[in-house]
Parts: sequence; structure tokens; C-alpha cells
Amino acid sequence: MANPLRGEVVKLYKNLLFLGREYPKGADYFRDRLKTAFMKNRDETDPEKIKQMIARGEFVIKELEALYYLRKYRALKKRYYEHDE
Amino acid sequence: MARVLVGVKRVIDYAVKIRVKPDRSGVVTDGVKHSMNPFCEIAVEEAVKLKEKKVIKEVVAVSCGPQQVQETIRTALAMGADRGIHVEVSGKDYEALGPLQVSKIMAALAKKEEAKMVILGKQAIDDDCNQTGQMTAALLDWPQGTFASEVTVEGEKVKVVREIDGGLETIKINLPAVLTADLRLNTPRYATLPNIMKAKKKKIANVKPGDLGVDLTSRVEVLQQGAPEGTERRTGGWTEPRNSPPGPLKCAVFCYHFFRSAPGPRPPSCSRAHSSRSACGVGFRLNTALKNNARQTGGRPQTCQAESSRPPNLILDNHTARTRRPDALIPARGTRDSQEG
Repeated sequence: MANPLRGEVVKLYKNLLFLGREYPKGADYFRDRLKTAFMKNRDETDPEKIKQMIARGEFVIKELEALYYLRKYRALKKRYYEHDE
Repeated sequence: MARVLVGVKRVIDYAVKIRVKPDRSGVVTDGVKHSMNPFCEIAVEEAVKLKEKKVIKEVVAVSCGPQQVQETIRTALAMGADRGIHVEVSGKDYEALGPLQVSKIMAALAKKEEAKMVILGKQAIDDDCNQTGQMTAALLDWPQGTFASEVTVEGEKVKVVREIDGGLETIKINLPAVLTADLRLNTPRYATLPNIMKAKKKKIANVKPGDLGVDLTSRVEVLQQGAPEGTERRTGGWTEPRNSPPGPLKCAVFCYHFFRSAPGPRPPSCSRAHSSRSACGVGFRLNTALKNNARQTGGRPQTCQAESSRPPNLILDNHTARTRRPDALIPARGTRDSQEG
């Protein structure tokens, strides 16, 4: 279990878990999916593959941030600027 | 170069459905998710951007309120502000805290901290006052650049592109100045978990309004608060179709008439009364088809408006006239109960 990448994976998981608190479908929904996704690859040992997966996780973080931003922006636009076409 | 003061307000999260207390004395805030006002986020982001461009040296985040506002300041620090000032206001004073009181505090702090710029959100999404920036500028006797959608600092001047009715206005004002951020100024960064952890090391100073020589008595008395009329249930509204029979058939017949004349395939379930765009998808297609039809015939679309889904915001009673829906709209016949799927 002393994989040198373990710390990074745990960090990624924590960051994603934190982001999931704001998920539109609810934190529980997000956490379940997140956990399944991580558990699916629990037996992976190849460092190259793990790195790839971490990169993918970081990509997901970016996507989530963009999603939250857009959601907020749209909500505000609808509330305050709905008259411009 | 000098520092920038940014005001951040803790408000009920934009995604939360606002509920008014039964006695109409205010809205329910207990156990409700709070976050930083989105316009304040934009203001913080702008200040941090200016710092990254090395135009300014320090970003100070200020918030007034009880202990909980420290969380909001913390978010601002996680976004890149250098330090925070927590102006402690609680209990009765906090309930009566309005734009005038906050602007007095901001003005006093701006003088004390020798700020070069004060950046605020243009308005808060809870009281929608849109006054704090303007009043701060007045109290300081500084120039103001409100509703900024672009800010460029040029030496001792700042060029501000403002969002005004029907366009943009570019002004150049002297520093020090007060700016208020509009929605399109920038895209605020997300306060990530590592940054929030790092922000815990940054300092938040505690200040009492008395220390600043600010009197917090309010001259405004809130009589009652309530949801805008017609927002108890968000349903679609329909314009009256010509020659339509009265009664419950109205909506169905309208759809039938319309889809017979509209080009393209007929949506599956248009004979059903529908309540909103999202509920069954028909309303949405109807809207699109209406527009297409209008484009082809060159006429105006017979409007079929799905009401926007603006949640009942905290709006004082005297504002309801503005948000009331036009009389031409009649409420949709069937509501959610009459629908499957």
C-alpha cells in the first residue's frame, strides 16, 4: 500500500469530495458516484496508468468548476438581465 | 502602489429557494445555506486580477456582520485576497444594517487603510439594494465607476466601461475611486479546498463599528416582507388565443390551432395542458416552433411565454408592482397534478 502516488490520489479524492458539496443533484449523489469511480480502479498498480487517472480527475475538477460558474452566471442573468435578448 | 478594499457580503445562497417567515417579518435564514454574494465574488476577482497585474499591492476583504461572516471573508482570502477585516455587527444592529450603514463603515475603513480603490459588488442578491457603492463614493467624495464591465488602470486614472441601458459607456475617473462590479466584468475563480486551507493562515482583523466612529442607527423601518405575487407556484402563462372557447379547453385548443399552422412535425403531447417549459418539453418546442413560424411568415410570433424561473427573491412589498406579470397572461390551466412524466 506504500504507493508513492497514494497521497496524490487521496488529495484528488478530497478535492473532488469538497467540490461535490455544491453538486446540483446533491452531495450524496455525487459522493456515491465518486466513490464507485475510485473503487473501480483500486487495484491499479501501474504508475503510468495511475498518473493518467489523476490527470483525468483534475480535468473533472476543471469541468465541475466551469459547471458551477456557468450555473451561477445563468441564474443571475435570468434573474437580473432577462430583458436583453 | 496602494491597496484595494473589497466589500464582501454573506447572503443566502443563490440556489436556495427563499422562504418567507409566516409572520412576514423577514425570510427564513436558520439552517439555510449561505455563501458569498455573486457580485462580491466578481469584485474580489477583479481586485485579485489587478494585484496579479501588479497594479496594486494588497487586497483587503471587508465584511460586516456576526461571527459567521468570517467564512465569507475566508472565501475571499481563498480567492486571493491578502487579509480580511471583520466588522462585528450582531443582533439588532445586524437586522437593521442597511446600505447606508455599510457605506459609512466602508468609507471609514477606506480612509483608515488609505485605500486607493474600493471595489464592491453592484448589488447583493438578498436585498437587491444597489446603493452601497454609490453612497460610499458620496461619503468619501470620491469619483465612482458603477456597473463596471471592464476596468483598466492607467497611472493615476482608471478607465471604466459601464453597463448602462442599451449599451456601454466608457468613463475615465481619477483615483482614488469607488467601483462596483457588474455581472460581465470577469469570471470569478473557484475557492478550492487547498486554497481555503491556505487562507486559514491569513489574518482577519476584528473591528467594532464604534472604533471607526460609525453610528449604526437606521432610519428605515421594514414593515413587512413577502414573496412577489404569483410566485407561490411557478407556472407557465399563456396569451389568450384568438377565437378560443372559454373554459378548460382553452390551452389544448390553442395548441391544436397553433400546431396545425406551424411547420414541422407535430409534438406528441400537445393536447395536454402544460405548466412550464421544463415540465413536459412541449412548451419549449412550442416556443421554438412559434419563432420559426414567425420567421417564415415574417410576422410577430403569437407569444406563448413560459414564465422565467426567477425564484421568489427577497423583495419588499413595494417592489411587487414591477415584478407582477402582465395582465395579458392568464395562468395555465392544468398544473403539475394533471401531468404524467
